[in-house]
Amino acid sequence: MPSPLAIETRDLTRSFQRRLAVDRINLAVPAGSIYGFLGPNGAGKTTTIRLLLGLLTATSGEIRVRGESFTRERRDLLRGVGALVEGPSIYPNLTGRENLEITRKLIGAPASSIEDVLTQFELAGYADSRASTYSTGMRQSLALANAWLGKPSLLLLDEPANGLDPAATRKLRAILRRTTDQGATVFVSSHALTEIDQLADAIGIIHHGRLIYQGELTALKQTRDGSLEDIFLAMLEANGSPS
Amino acid sequence: MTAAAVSAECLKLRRTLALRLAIGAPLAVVLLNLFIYLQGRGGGAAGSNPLVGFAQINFTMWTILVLPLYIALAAALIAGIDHQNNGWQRIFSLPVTRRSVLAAKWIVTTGLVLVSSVALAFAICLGAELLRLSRPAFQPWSPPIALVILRSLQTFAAACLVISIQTWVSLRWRSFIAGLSLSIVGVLILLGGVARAGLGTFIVYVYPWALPATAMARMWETHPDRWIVTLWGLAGGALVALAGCWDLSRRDFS
Repeated sequence: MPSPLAIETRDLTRSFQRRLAVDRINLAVPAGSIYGFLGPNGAGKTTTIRLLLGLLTATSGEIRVRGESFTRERRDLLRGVGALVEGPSIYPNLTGRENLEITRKLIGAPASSIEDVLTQFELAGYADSRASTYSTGMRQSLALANAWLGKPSLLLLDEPANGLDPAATRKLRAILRRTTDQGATVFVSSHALTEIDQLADAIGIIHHGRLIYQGELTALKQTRDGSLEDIFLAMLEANGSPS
Repeated sequence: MTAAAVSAECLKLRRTLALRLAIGAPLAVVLLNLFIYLQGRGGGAAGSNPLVGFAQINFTMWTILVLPLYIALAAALIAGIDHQNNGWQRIFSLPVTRRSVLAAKWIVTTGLVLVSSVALAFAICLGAELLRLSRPAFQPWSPPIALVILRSLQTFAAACLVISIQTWVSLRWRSFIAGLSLSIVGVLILLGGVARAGLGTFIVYVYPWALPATAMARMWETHPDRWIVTLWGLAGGALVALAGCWDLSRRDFS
């Protein structure tokens, strides 16, 4: 039976020298959902994503993806994962198409997948221009197109709407929703609380490396007054941070 | 998987300085020497092929000065492609093993130096032919094509140890300074002491930056030492590459 959780961590911990960046967090990301991962700067969001992708090794704890141990099955599990970590990673000397071709070669996706994502992210008209000539928003779109290559069943996105204009942000929202409708899971780390408010099915809030809240967004909003921003800031304040 | 990683690395090289230098650096060496020879300077001992002398001066300048710096630059530029712009995070979040990505970096850096060695051989032969056509004293002689190709490949093989050392350093440290400093120190030690030691002394057979120069020293002669440094360069390069891949595949990249 497939696991109801796309991602599950048990006491996941990572320290840098003596500083605990991620402190025994237990994530439970439901399969087929959009999970918003929130936290102030330096809370440990990006470190968590890097741990989930195996870019960093955990000091202790366990990660399970679709019920399988990530440490043991890393390469196989990454076959179904698309990621955007710490901003767009683009080779500026290459064209948009060539940038995608690098990923396509490494994941063994069909050649047609490049055209699909170029169309999906409205980059087809710029595919043969060098990425160094792209605007910030186009670079972000190219990085997102790169994450969508190979039709991943799990997407880990760090601030995906950064640099996108309102129209592109709305388009991204629609793509994210369509992706989960097709059965994929999206894990989004973001500062943009209104985006998360409109998108997420479940959220986790990380602060000083600790997961201070996790659950369904609708359930959270039923139990507390105010917008997601009000709730988020109140939680940070209650956990030792000025609002 | 390594084949796909090598193919991806080759694609990353498009429109880069590293690729242009692979042709440009050897061409600059030969053009400089050709210019000197066309001024009427340079020649050879009476009765010996002056075009071998032309090839020798090119090889000497290449192996002692240009090749070590070119290797350092190529290794730094190739590693720099992924040190910049979050490249490692992008690549290592894909279903590829770190070992195959790192091995691909090694293969491409080595391949680029091989391209420059072939370009050097081609440019020397072309330059020799131009000299033969333009200087009457050179007309009776034919360019030593086979010898130039053989020495060029031996020089490349002997350089594999330095290629591996520089690749390891460049992948390990994000800054260009680490690789280039190492190369400059390596060349200074070579110029300051090792090169003066001469053939027959132990140091010229073991010091990594001396191996290419030892492999082409007195290029017209046949001596078994040339094969020793060639094999040592290849074997040492392979060992350092294996150690480097093992070390780097265990590190966190950011």
